[in-house]
Amino acid sequence: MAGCAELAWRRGRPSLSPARKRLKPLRTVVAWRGRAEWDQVMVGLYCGDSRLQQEALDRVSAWKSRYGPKMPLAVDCTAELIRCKVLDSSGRLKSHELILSYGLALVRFVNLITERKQKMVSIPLRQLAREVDIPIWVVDLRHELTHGKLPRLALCRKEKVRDVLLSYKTEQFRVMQTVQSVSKSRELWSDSSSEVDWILAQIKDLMQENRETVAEALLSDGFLIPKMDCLKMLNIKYEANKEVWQFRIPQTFYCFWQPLLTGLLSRSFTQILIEKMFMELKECSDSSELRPQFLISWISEMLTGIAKVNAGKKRQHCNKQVSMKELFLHKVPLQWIRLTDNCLEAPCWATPHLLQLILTIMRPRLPRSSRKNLLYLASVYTEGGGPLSSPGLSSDCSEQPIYTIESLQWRARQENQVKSQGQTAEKQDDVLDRDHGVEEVEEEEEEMVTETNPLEGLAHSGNMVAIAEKRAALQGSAWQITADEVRWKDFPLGKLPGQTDDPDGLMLDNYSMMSLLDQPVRDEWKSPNTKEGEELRFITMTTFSCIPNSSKVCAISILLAAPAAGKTPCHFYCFVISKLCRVEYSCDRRIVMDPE
Amino acid sequence: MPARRGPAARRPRRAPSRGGRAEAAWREFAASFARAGMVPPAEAGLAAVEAAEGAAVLLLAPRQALTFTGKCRLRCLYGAVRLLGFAVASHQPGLPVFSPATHCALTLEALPADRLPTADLRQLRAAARAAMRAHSVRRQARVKVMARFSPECAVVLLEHLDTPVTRFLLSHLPLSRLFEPQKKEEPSFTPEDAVLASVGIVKCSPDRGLLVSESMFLALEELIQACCAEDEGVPMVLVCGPKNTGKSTFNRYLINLLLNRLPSVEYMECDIGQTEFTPPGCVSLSNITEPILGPPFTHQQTPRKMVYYGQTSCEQDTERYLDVVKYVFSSYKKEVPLVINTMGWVKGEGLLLLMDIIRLLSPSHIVQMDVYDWKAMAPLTPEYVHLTPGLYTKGKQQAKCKQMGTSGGENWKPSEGEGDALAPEYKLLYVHPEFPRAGVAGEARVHSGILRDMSILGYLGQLQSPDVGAVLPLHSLVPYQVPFSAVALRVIHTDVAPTNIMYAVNASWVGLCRIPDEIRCQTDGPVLLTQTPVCDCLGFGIVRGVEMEKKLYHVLTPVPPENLRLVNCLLLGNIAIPNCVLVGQQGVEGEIPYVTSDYNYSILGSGKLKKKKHFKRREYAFECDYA
Repeated sequence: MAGCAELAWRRGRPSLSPARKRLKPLRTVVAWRGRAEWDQVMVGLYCGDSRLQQEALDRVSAWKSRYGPKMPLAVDCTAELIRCKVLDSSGRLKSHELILSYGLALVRFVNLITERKQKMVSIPLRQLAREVDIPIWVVDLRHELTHGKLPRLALCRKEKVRDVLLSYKTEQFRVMQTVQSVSKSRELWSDSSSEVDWILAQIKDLMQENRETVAEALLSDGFLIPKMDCLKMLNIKYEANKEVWQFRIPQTFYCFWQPLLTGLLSRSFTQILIEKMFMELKECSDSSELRPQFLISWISEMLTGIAKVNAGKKRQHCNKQVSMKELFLHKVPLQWIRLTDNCLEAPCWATPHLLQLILTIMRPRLPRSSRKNLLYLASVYTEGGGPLSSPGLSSDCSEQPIYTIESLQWRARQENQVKSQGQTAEKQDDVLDRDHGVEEVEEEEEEMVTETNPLEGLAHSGNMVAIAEKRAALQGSAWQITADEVRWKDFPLGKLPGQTDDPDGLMLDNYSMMSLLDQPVRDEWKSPNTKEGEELRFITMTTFSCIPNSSKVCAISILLAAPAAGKTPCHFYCFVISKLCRVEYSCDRRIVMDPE
Repeated sequence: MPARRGPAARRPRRAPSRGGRAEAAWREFAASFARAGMVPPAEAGLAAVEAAEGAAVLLLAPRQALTFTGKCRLRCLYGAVRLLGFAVASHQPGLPVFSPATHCALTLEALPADRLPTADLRQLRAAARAAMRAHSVRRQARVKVMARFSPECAVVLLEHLDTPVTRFLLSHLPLSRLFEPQKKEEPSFTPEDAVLASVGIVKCSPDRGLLVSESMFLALEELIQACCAEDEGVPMVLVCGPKNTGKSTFNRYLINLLLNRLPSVEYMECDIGQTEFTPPGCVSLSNITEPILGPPFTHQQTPRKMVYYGQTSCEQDTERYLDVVKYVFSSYKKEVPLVINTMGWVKGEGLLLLMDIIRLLSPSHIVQMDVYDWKAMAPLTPEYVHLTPGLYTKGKQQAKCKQMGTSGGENWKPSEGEGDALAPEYKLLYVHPEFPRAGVAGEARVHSGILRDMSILGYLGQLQSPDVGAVLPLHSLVPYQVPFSAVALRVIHTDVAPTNIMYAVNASWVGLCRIPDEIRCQTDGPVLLTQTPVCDCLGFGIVRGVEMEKKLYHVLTPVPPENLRLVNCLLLGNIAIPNCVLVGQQGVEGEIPYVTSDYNYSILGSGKLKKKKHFKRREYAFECDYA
């Protein structure tokens, strides 16, 4: 019985006449007045500018008041993360305090967001995180934060680096989108822009704190090691066949990252990056995925680049049809013995090739016999035979590939195919999304008492008397009955005549603070002038209303919510979001903020 | 009271079967419907006749009872009836009676009349007939009723009831069927049912009504005796127990029983989650003179003292909660008996807080309601309370020594600085509720949030003008306005950036309060308080709009102007305007602020944080980490 009653509550009027049912979108109450306010906060939170982020966080504090305990989790978590970022870039917290802030925000995020997926018997977080696409390193970090030693800030900052890298990526994609052509964008990419310079400056800044973190971030999924969707966007066809690669990074992808790498690859960083790459390769040498392939190719590209620059060859030497800029502009002396060790510690099918490159470039050279023996041993270990005795990959790779017009044409054809495939896939996705995105609930066609009753005029005159009485009773008081002749019934609660949808419409420019006598003094608000910082505890972002693919939200909020120490044009983020998730709520406004 | 023997109480709820053979067959027929869940078994001797348009006369045989849902106005024409403990005699004016499906159903029962021994049957019949005639009961109906008349019976007039408050409430979609029976089909199997339905009530199973257990009966008997005894001090009854054990219903029943004997009873509400006479989030002290014949939303009234705490639970700030309780209690004058209702939070800190409240208020009686043999809550004997520390008050530690070394009675002294070390003196009364699902969390008939919304709607219903038949939508009403600089503002439950505070205030529920301080401001902008005041709350309102240029708040409120002019502080808590109010706005220009159909709840993280209550670890831990 009670069950029935409750059901009836939830669904409103129980079905009397099922035939009259029709579908109506579910209308709910939210904390923002309308779409404009939502958009504004979303853009604010995800832009790199601390001031705008703080403003968005301030608005979220009002949302939190409206929602009370019903505050959407995603909004809360995002806000907490962004709050850390704002605190971080304010430079007011020391690293230990920052670790605690970032740490708690991160732990809360991971725990709370996966909480809903928990069942009666707890499921390992790793599994849940995988389901919602939270990167595993975030989960590990959470574990370390809660059960282990506090990690160095660097690790928390990894997010920060990733964030900057992401802004680089977005910038490049934006450039590409403006010209609508891969080949043109290659040219554009190679001419450094102020945007890229700015991003580069940020990363260099971060590198001063910790080079390793930057190297690790570069090698995490989605940057130097692309994800499939990224390749698709760049029209690069992924060939599982190792031979096709010939130890080169696909040109477009190379051009995509070249400006950044050229800026970063100082002597010490090059050493660190190549070492890291070998270490990564060691971890994944057996896998047949993108990662080892790209690692090998990047190492090879870098070594080749070093070889050229060390040999004093000029750029013109690489006489490719497409101008490909070099990664290195100056000679890069490295610790070659260490690299040799690293290389040998990460044996894989490409080891002989990489080893040979190292041995060729290294100065001073090893004795000829040593080189020969090392190469031979490496081949035996990785291929089961001498470098020359076995046909196939290892012998192929020792020959430099020769590009011909035909091979370029072939590639172009491949690219076009990929492109058209990609487009169809996208369209299909769209259709699916639409089906999924529009949530509709069964709701009975409900005609509420809408008929403008003939009594209304009468009611009005009746009311006039009552109003006059009230007005008299309020004589001399600050409270008054609104005098203007307003047709109130035209204006919903929360909106007054003449009010627009301007999301800044309710911002205050002045207010006074008042403390009370004879009241217990607790949780005192700081003085009115301390604006940001201590006064706000909350924040957020959310739930992009229409994002169909929920899992991506988490991934994005982690990636984006993390600190970006600076100013990047807002729309980049939105672009990424819309690319990944095809957000309908995407922001097409170009709010480009001046770096200063 | 003992004279009356509390007939409502001890008797089993079902009417004794005493029908003849013919009736037996009919009974079986009716029972078949009951089994099919269609209609509750009708009782013999119940006679309902249409008295006029939208009115019915009901004749109840002695001790006969009718449990029903719906609403109506009730007037006793002959004899006496009892409704949730309140005795209604023929001199009483018509009483509005509400028995929605969301609450414990009301039971109307005939009381044995205090008949003068000399009165003869003819006089009695004449009196009954005259009463009916006086209320324009049709002749036909009078004849029918008189045909079944006996001197011990009761005759009541039931009239269709339609108040502005109920009209307003029912105009909101989720509540539109509030008073309708929860049946799939309208049962109209007997003419009586049809007659009752015409005035707006439907018979239901007696199980849906209040089930008075033996322990409850005994407790009530004792309390009534204490309250009506002249010589003792004025009793203060504190009612406590876990959620869903029937505290509210017990309170209503107790108050009604007391009102049979006393002109008024005071009621102190400490349960901020489910308030009886005010909107939620308040601690209040009310003077009750009218019987409580319905759920809270039907009897919202202005309390003698009220403080807006601003949350529906006090975990976040127990200290302020106690301050508030203290403040409200200080205006109790101890002239009439006091019934104190407490929160259902009796675990952990909640129990400690209850200790504090008991020490603070020092009641004369504690009614402890529990179902699981005191597992949820230890028996609150005076000794136990004496020894147990509260959240902010200390227990008496030395008492233990006293128990051990009984010989040294003279050595034992109350320690200095704890002057009130005496054990509290109160009488503890246990009540075991025996209704189905008692005490089972989550088994309440209706979600507590919906009940709160209903209280708020009941309160807002006071804005409807009494003389207009149609419902006036809230947004169509003319609001009050007050300058930013004339009223201080404070958000209680969270920190809002001052520059953005109007985003929190606009279209929100606010407590209209009065602080003793003068409002000081340096600018014409709003005045934000630096701490949450413990101050009088005079009522509530909706900030209908915020005018930034003229710096005015526009407020809709039923608070009368003479009180409103005293208001100089708006408190904003986490109690929100019911969603149905915002969503249901009709005929407005453009988009409705804060209402959207784009929000997608299927996205992970789009919902609120939910606490997992029953959480188990996997039984066999693996070597790997659980990260």
